[in-house]
Amino acid sequence: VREVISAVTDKLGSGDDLLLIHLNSAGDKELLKPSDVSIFSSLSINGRLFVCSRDQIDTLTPLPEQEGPSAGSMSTFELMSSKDLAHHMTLYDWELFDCVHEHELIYHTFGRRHFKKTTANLDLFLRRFNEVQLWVVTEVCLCPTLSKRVQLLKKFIKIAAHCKEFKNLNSFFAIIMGLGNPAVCRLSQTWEKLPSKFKKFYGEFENLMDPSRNHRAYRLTMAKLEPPIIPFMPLLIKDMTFTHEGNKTFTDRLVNFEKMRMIANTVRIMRYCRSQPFNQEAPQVTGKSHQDVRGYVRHIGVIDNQRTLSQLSHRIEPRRS
Amino acid sequence: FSSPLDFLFKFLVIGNAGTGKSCLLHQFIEKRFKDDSNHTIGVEFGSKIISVVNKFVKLQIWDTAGQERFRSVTRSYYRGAAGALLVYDITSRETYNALTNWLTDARMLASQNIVIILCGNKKDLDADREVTFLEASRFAQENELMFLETSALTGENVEEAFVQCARKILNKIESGELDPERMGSGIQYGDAALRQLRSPRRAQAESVQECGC
Repeated sequence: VREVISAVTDKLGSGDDLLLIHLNSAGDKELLKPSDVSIFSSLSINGRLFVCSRDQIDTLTPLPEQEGPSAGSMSTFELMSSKDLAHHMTLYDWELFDCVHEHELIYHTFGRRHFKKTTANLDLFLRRFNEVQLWVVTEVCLCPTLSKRVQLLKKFIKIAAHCKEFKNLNSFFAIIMGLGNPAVCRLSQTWEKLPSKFKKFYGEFENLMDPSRNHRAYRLTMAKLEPPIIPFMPLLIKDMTFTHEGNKTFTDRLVNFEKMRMIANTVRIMRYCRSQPFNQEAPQVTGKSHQDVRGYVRHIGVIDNQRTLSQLSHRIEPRRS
Repeated sequence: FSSPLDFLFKFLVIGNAGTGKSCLLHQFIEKRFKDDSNHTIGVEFGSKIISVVNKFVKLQIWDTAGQERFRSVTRSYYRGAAGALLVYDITSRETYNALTNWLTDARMLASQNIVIILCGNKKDLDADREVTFLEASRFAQENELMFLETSALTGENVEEAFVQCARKILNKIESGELDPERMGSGIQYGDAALRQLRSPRRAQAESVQECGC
């Protein structure tokens, strides 16, 4: 933060005390502390950084571009095969996942400030998870036609199924959770029209997310897979958090090795997932060319303001009395 | 513990990261496990039996720490929750601003009758306060929430938060507003509750198709 502010101060040539603010699309402001690190990679999806002096803070409002798209991109990606989409999403996820250093997981859990180390790669990967989730919600909420919305649900369920086949559990869950977002799951007319075959798939997928008995369903599925695997990252983070917060690091000034072992075990899951290189054969080209698909999945525009999404959702299917 | 159990309630602890959710839970539960310094709150949940209006109630509390950034406290978490602690940090306006989102999700995804108590945590850090008691209690009133300021550090009001929430649920049961027999109420009777602890009935029923292994 200090570097950013001093760079801006140089440019402006003004000596005022400037502050760095993270402004999300809902207009919430967060004042960044001078000691914060890795700020660019930990912005919210449509969040932007602003520099201003203290008395200008109240006048900050989100830029129009932060609102995200106003029309869905279904017409673009409905022509792409679900398998191609899943494939290219997986390639991208793998690139991001492969960049994450094991230690970043530890810095993230124990607080990167204590280490003065970056968690930028992990941040970007985690951010992608939210982006995919919001992509699903955005597309569904920006689709005013009922029959098209049903098509969309089918499409997303298909993409999720292919992600699962590619052992990309991160995007798989991102899509399923997107479909479970309040703005989407309340669209009962749309869900009613979904063929029962798809409902069944979705039901099965959703069950994999059941947290009971410590996410048993997911862990059992995961245990049956061979690497390379892209794991469901939020759960690894949760395991780290629970291990960290549930156990003391020191007892009587002695290091709690039991805890360190638990942390190491979680980190080792990540290592195991990447113990084989990822080189999936590209599926046969159908319809749109690979470049288009690749470009599309890497530049997804989303609305990240839940209130906006919820309003859109109520507009396309008003609450039934 | 030989006293018969009257009810089992499922509770959730929700709110932004860094608000001290896990600490609240630890403070509440650890009174029972004081000397067992190295237990992990079962990665799934912690539980504790409390006595409220002459009834013994087992609270099964699901912590959602580490999941906040992903909006992944999903339907599966909310399913069958009878009560929730919605936590913010009185020294962080950001966590307070996020309450609306949490509340929308909870109302949408949990059962209609879920009883929610708002907890302004880190009461001990009064010097750094960014959210006033008055402001938060207004918010609570507008949204029909109970409200307390808590300190996971000193333990102030921690037990009360859980107890008040449980008491309200019991009141609702007695007034007939809440029917424990209904599916998804998040409430179970004692005997059933004990059985449920050994083998979560619902989880099994639902994972039947999945676990063909």
